[in-house]
Amino acid sequence: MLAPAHLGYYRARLSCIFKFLQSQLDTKCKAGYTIIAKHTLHNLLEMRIDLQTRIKALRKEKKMSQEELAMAVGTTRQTITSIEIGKYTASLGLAYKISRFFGKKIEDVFDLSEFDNDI
Amino acid sequence: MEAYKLTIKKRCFILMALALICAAFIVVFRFGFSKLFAGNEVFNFQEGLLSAFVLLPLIKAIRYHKAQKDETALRKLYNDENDERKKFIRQKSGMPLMQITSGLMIFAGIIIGYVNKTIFYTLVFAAMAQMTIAVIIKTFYMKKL
Repeated sequence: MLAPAHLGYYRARLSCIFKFLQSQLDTKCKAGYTIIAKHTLHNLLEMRIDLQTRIKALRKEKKMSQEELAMAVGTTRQTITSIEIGKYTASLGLAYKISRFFGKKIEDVFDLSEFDNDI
Repeated sequence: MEAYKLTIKKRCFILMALALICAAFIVVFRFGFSKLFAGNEVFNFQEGLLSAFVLLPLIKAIRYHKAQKDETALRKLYNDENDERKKFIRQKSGMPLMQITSGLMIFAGIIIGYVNKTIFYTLVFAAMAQMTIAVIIKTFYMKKL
């Protein structure tokens, strides 16, 4: 049998251990959450990049250079670069030419989701 | 592309004509008025400008002439001229109007320069400042877009 004094001691020790475990769990969870959050953010960013650079992906599929695509659609290599990295928004005419060149619809090549809410 | 080839040919002709006219002016000014305006800054500036108008169109005409022979170069030149991003940047920097006003200011400055040199310097520097600002804006948008 444990004496009440000992009981108090063990209760205190147990409480300490629980607190330690809790803190460890919290830290691990926080780290886990951070990792999950980081992954989610990374995936979102990747998705965004994918959407912006769909031309790049299609171009890579066809094994074409920016120069070749530019020549095919009647523009310059710099413009293709700017469109790919999202610096410049192509006009309807150029977007149509690029999409038609890849045999796809405009919405399959360009990310138009930002305009969905405006309608 | 054939229509563009014709346009290039016309441009070549115009540029060569401009270079020849400017060269003729240089000869006339050099042998006709050089003694009358010896040491005149406006006269020297005018000669320098005319020399530039001989050289620059010639360089451009040679470029056009080379492009006429090579189909890829012609296509590149056409794409470069009709590139929507470049057109947009040019519009942003106020290019066509800025060039015209600067040209007119220099032209007016040269004519008035024979009467009043202060006006000549003012107009020429204003035109140069205008062109410099346009180039800075153009460079900025080339980087931004």
